[in-house]
Amino acid sequence: MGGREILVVENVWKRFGGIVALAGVSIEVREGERLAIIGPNGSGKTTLFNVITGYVKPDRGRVSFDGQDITGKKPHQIARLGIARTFQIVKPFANLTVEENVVVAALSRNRSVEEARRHALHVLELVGLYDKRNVRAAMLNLAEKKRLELAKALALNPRLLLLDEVAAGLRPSEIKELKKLLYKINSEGVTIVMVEHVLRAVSGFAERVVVLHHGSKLAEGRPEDIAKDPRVVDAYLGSLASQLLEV
Amino acid sequence: MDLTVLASAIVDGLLMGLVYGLVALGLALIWGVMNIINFAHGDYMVLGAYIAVLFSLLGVDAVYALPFAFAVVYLAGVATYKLVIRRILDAPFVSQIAATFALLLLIRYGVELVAGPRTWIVESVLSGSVVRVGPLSIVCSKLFAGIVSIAVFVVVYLFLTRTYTGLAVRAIAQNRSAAMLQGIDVDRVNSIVFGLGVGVAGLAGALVALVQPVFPELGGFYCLVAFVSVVLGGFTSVVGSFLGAIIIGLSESLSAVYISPTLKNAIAFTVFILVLLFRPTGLFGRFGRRV
Amino acid sequence: MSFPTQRELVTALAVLIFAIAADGVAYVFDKPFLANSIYLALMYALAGLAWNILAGFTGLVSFGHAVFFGLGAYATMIAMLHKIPAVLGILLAGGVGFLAAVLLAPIWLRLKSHWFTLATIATAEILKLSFIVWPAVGGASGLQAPIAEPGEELYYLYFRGAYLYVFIAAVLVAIEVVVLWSILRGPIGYKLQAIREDEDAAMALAIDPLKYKFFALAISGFFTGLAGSLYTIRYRFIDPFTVFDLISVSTYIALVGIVGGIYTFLGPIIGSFIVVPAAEYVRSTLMSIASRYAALHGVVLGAVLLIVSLMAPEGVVERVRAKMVVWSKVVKVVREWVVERS
Repeated sequence: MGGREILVVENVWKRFGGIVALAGVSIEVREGERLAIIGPNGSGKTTLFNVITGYVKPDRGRVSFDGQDITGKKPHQIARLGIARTFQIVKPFANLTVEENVVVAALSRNRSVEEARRHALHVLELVGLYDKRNVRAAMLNLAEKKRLELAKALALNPRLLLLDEVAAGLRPSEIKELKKLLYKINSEGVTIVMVEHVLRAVSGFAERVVVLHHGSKLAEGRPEDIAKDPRVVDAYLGSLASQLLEV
Repeated sequence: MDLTVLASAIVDGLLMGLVYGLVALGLALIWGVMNIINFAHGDYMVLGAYIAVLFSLLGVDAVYALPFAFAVVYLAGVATYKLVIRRILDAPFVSQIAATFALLLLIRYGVELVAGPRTWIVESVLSGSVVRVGPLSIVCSKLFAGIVSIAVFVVVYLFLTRTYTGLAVRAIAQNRSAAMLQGIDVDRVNSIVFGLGVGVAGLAGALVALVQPVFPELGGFYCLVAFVSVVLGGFTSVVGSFLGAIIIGLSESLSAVYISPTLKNAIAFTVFILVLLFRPTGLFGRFGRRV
Repeated sequence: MSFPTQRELVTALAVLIFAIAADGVAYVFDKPFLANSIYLALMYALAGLAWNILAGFTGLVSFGHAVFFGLGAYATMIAMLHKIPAVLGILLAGGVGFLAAVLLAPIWLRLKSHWFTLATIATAEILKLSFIVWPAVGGASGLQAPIAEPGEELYYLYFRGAYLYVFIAAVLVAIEVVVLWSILRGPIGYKLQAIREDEDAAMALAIDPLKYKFFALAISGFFTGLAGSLYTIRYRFIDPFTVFDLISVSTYIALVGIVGGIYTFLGPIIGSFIVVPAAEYVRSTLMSIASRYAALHGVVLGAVLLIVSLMAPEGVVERVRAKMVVWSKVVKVVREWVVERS
């Protein structure tokens, strides 16, 4: 491990009407790390991603990336700095082809469409969508749409990759394949933070796990320790716990 | 300017605002339930106004036209729903705009084709008579229009809150697919809502015919007023849009007195853009979806 | 899918050449009506293409393009009244359209979907009302172009009939086609379409939606302003009711785009050459037989718009293209079958 901190989230609060989505969350991510954030629905995982990427303004607290304060910056500015994200509810450009979808992303790093297309095809090969490159994105199945989300994020050449439930809805074999791909990306120096519902989806991949509960950090540690952490087990007694902590 | 002028401007604006409210209410209802923006809404209102014209041509007092205006426009609305609206509920946004805009053209110029481009003035038992309250004199037909508007508003409100169908309407507005799972016949309720929404506007049209001259393009202005009211009222709120309409009526009559009567229309447009910019959730917007 | 293709560029230019040829035929056989229809079709094609860079490529549907059209028409008229050559007046119209778009952008672009549409309608109405009460621009009675003395015909672009005007219009449309075609095929075309499809997802890919919408609106304003100048140089008289009209300007511009198909580059040109000559023909025949032709014109327009939006929301061009794909497959199968047999 080691490495300096690339992303620092400090004491972030966010309230929607009467609901507190984030209650003073602080998280540090080191460069090159593979971090997982887990928690049940409504624990604030997606809101946290939305705060980091500028889609939601926090009521209080601060987010910095690579030593630079990015709180309150616009999503496109943050993306340009090198943070790429996927969306839990996939957002393909439905009427464009798979290739065109990724070209849009690659254009952030390439001036001409030709260069962007070369880069896009390379990424499509990496995520295994090359054969589908001329298909309209709306026609893809869910697993393919998730891979397209990933391809778009990768085509930005990010330094930090935020993945919002990319594994949900995928078959075990597909998850295995996905993890292999993410390993490869990580080994090239890209820091990865993934949000998942269940620990199983991140085990064997994440080096460190943060558990969110009711908008605040419940526990933090290595995956095998988290599974045994009494606080986590206490908080998730019953069927939910077994489902959540099953490795 | 003395106080009498101010007071009569307020009364006048309030009464017209109530009529605007009826037009706005239907627009908000359709919008909330079907998520369809009916650009032709003002022209359904004009259909009602021409029914009042027809009555007075036939020698029947235009006051009796009110229930018929509602019924005829209600049926026209149900037919429109079955023929057009149902097919565009899930269509792309451009098709939705294009289709209701096409309805606007069809009704507006259909009316002109039949009745000609001329302006009609409808006479009724109320015409010319005035009620005096202290120093104020209130035009009877406007007073009548205002009172009827309140009554209709109350009836619609009771329908939405006290009847089974009204409950179904609100359930669909909250969550269409959940309502469908509950066994609500969404298609049937939609057709009732569209009929009711434009029908109430049609009734308002007959009231308008009692207080001002009628011509084919009349709907454009009322449609705009309805949109502004709905924006003020927080989009899909029926009560909010009714209140919004009263505010428009008041600001209009006051600006006609204190600024310039010719810029009356421009003021409604300007308020519209200002509200969209600075208060995108509406003045009373609880359900306000972000623009 | 919706990126302009090479074939679309060629087709567009071919349509323009065909229009000029038809204009020549009209001149030889003295058919002023035909030439006028071609001219109007080109004028609406110019505005329709500009409209569609917003509607089709950015997802902003305007029913208030009379703003730019009307301002362009007035700019050219006022330029001519100040003895400025009409050619400069045309350029000025583009500039005024561009400027109007830039000034309106901070208001319009804060709004989305139907709110944008409503704001465009409201703006056009406000402008119409303002011009009606503004004596310096002729108020409600409008403005009349100066009469060109002999020898000044080119200076004021004052010709008999529509024949020569068709050339001017065709040149403007050709310039627009080439400019828009190359812009929309490049990075900007990709980014605009990403914004149209999903603004949030586009932002995640480092695209600033406001910047690109602003660009699209400015270009759209420029070319629609040019279309307004075409009205002035040909008809020599304008008033607020005509050039800011909701139906015959704003709706018509949107209509040619919707009929042709907004997700295709060619759409507005094809739509314009279908709708405008047909409407002109209907109008001229009705004018002689029906006293209420104006109302009937509106009804027919509404019927066309309704039928297209219900039956062929993808527009005529996509329809034909889909049919052609089917046909080419049939031809291919038959050919293979024949080859196999022989």
